Order: sequence, then structure tokens, then C-alpha cells
Amino acid sequence: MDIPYTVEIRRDTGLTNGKIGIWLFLASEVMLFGALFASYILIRSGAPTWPRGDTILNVPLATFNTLVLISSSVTMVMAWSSLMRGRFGTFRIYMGTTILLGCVFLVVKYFEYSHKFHDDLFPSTNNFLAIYFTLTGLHMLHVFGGMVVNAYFWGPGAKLWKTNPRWFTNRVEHAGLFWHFVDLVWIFLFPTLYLL
Amino acid sequence: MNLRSVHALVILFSAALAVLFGVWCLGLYRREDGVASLLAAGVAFAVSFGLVVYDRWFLRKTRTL
Repeated sequence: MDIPYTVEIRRDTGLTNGKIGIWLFLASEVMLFGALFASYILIRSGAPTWPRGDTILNVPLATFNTLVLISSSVTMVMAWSSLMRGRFGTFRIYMGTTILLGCVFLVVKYFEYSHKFHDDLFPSTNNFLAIYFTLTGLHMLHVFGGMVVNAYFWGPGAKLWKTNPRWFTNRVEHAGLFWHFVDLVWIFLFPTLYLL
Repeated sequence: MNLRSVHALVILFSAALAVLFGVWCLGLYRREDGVASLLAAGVAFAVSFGLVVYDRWFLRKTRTL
């Protein structure tokens, strides 16, 4: 039996089931990160002293990573746009670049973390580092999750393009929405932890 | 809301972040007087402008999607 409303729009919601699903999932993610951001604000406002992020963290590396993530959102949307225009070959190039940029982000983050551990800076050192490692660690997991999904659509999942191109395009759009959410979280994380 | 609108929004937020980063770099320049900070501020403002230009181009280019 086929899954209903993967391509055609449901009359009651005005959306496909997949899109409803991804937006519900993203709403739950907003609550998760929202709770952590709220914790950060509460802990910081209640602390007698709070270190400035740029005195502990590596701002140039994080700035580079911000550029990497913004670039990856551009390549992600280009991958989807290529499918909308029926260009599967171009999709593969853009999607591959998105995955590669995700790898670059994680490698840079690995070096950042290693440097902290080398300097004896751990989550248990102080509240600032505890929230830094929690927020960025959770964000890294999301980047990794997005990369796994993108790699699936770049590789084995791409065979759906031959049988049902519209469904495949919708799936890539949903993956793109998640990837953009991950980018947006970083856009808030970067100034909150590194600059303010 | 489709990916096209979300992308346009994320790029706008990125442009705002670039402005914030530029202002932060200017603050650093005032405190430490490093030419690199001033240069970084200039680059950040240029990136912000570039992102806004890209956003407009993207919305025009993908109007039919």
C-alpha cells in the first residue's frame, strides 16, 4: 500500500504529510533549544560574574565555521532547486558539497574541542563552559544527523528519483528545512556564546 | 512555508549576524586598537551587504519554483 499524500496536497491541511511532519518535528526542536537558551539566560543573569566568550573561545575559528554553515545552506537550497528544474546531476554536485561543508564544520569543531580539553577546560570547569559544551555539542549532533540524511539522499535514497521524482524532491526539501534550522540555531549560538 | 522562503529568512538573519559581528569587531578595535579588528569589521559589513544582494537575487531567480 502506498503512503498517502507524499506528493499531492491534503485538502484539510493544505500541505503534504511529509511537510506537516517536518514542521512538527522542527517545532519540538525549537522547544528543545529554546529551553537550553532560557537556561543559559537564567544562569547568566543569576551569576555574580560571567566570563566574556572571546576570552575563552576561539572567535576566528567560529567565524570561519559560521561562513561554512551559511555556504552549506546555499548549496542545500541549490540542490533542491536543481531537482525542481529536473537536473539530477547538478543536484548531486550541490548535495555532495553540502555534505562536505558539514564535514568541514565538524572537523573545525573537533579541533576547537581538542584545544579546550588540552587547556584543561571541561564542562565541569564552570557554568559558562558547561552551557557552551551542552549547546554546541547538541548542535554538532544535529549537524551530524543532517549529514546522515543528506548522504542518504545523495547515495542510496536517490533511486527514488527514477520512480517518483516529485516525492524525492519533497523529501530533499524536508531535509533542507532541517538543515536550515540547524544553520539558524548556529546563527543564534555564535553571538550568544562567542561575542556577548 | 517552503524551503525557498525559509532560505531567504535564514540569509537575512545571517546578514544581521554579519552586521552584529562587524559592530563587535569595531568594539574590539576601540579596546585593543588592532588593525585586524578594523579590517574584520569592514569585511563583515561587506559580507552583510553581499548577503542582502544574494537574497534579492535568489528570490528573483526562484520566483517560479
